[in-house]
Amino acid sequence: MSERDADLQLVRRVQSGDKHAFELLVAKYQRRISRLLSRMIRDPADIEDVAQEAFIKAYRALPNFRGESAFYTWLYRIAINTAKNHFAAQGRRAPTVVTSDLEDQEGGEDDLRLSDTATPDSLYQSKQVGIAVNRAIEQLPEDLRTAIVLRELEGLSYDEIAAAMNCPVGTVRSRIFRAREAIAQELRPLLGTRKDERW
Amino acid sequence: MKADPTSERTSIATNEAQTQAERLSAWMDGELDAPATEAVLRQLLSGRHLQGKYQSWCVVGDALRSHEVAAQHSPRLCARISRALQDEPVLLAPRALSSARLRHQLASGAAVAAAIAVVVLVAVPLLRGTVPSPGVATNAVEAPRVAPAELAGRDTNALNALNPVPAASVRQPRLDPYFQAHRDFTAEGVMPAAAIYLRSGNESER
Repeated sequence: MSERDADLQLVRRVQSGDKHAFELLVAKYQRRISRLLSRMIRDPADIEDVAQEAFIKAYRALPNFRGESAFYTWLYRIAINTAKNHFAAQGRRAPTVVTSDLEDQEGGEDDLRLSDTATPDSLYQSKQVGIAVNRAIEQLPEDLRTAIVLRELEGLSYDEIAAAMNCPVGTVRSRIFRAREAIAQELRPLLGTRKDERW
Repeated sequence: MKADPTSERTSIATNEAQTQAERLSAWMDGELDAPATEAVLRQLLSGRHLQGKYQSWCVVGDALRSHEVAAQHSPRLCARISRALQDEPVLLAPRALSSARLRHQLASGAAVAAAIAVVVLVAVPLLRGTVPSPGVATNAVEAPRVAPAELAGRDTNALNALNPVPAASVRQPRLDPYFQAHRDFTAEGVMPAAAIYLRSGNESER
């Protein structure tokens, strides 16, 4: 099983009538979709409107989703088309989104250059997140730090991490879990996420 | 000293919650086996506790990969979409088959159909004894008869194919002692004890 399969399991749940499962997909991809849209749309209020419309369109189209591509690839296409429609409705031409942008986003390796649409607010927020993440990472014990970095940044499987760290897979699982908890704790005040509570 | 039952229960509940959360973390990475996955999904979709953790850890992943992406976090947007979803109908779509899976299923079906066809066309007539024997096949084109002189040096199978002869005429009585000796020598087969009882009809006649 892969991370993509985890998405697919949620998709199947939605297709079987579970709306909550779609909310979990929204929670996972809301930031990436907003980031993508922020490169096309300047007004933050418009970004939220278009993002919401894109997610609702995706929900309506989900019965036709066959799982041939990753869910996020499919979702990104819907988001881009929704943004284009947004511009068309306003009688404006959508800025070109080059494929590499989409690939960067999909790969999750997006060390994206900030586009012209970055506002002082978003720059500031981004900088604050960077500071908080770096602080959280520095405070982690070395074994937790290595495990979470190998997983989230390098995309290694638990087996590969276990081999690299010379420890059992169960230990890797525990370390990644504890690292996530520690970093989430550090980010909570900044991002308004609350412990053990949904939005 | 007696352990406090309340604190013991709390401790057990905490451990259980931690195990659940750890499993959720593994599931998010696609590292949970199928039976455990079902349980985690059920708990995730029914409990706010795990949903909060799921959301936080998604932010953590985004923040580690890109500060700009994490900075887009908007609980307000999630709440808006959640409210908008309430007005949407519940989906009850049949599971869409991927074309790859569809191809696989079609191929499996074709293989089953082919196997049934073989049974019907070949095996059933054989079992019923309705398959025409070579001698009965009156409409078949007769194999050309080849003179023995022409056959010198040819492969035995080819000879048999060209000049089918009754099995009885193949046997040469002068070779029987040779075959008998050979059979005795190689009697250590799958049924060595029964080998001595295995005699051809021809031998019993002698």
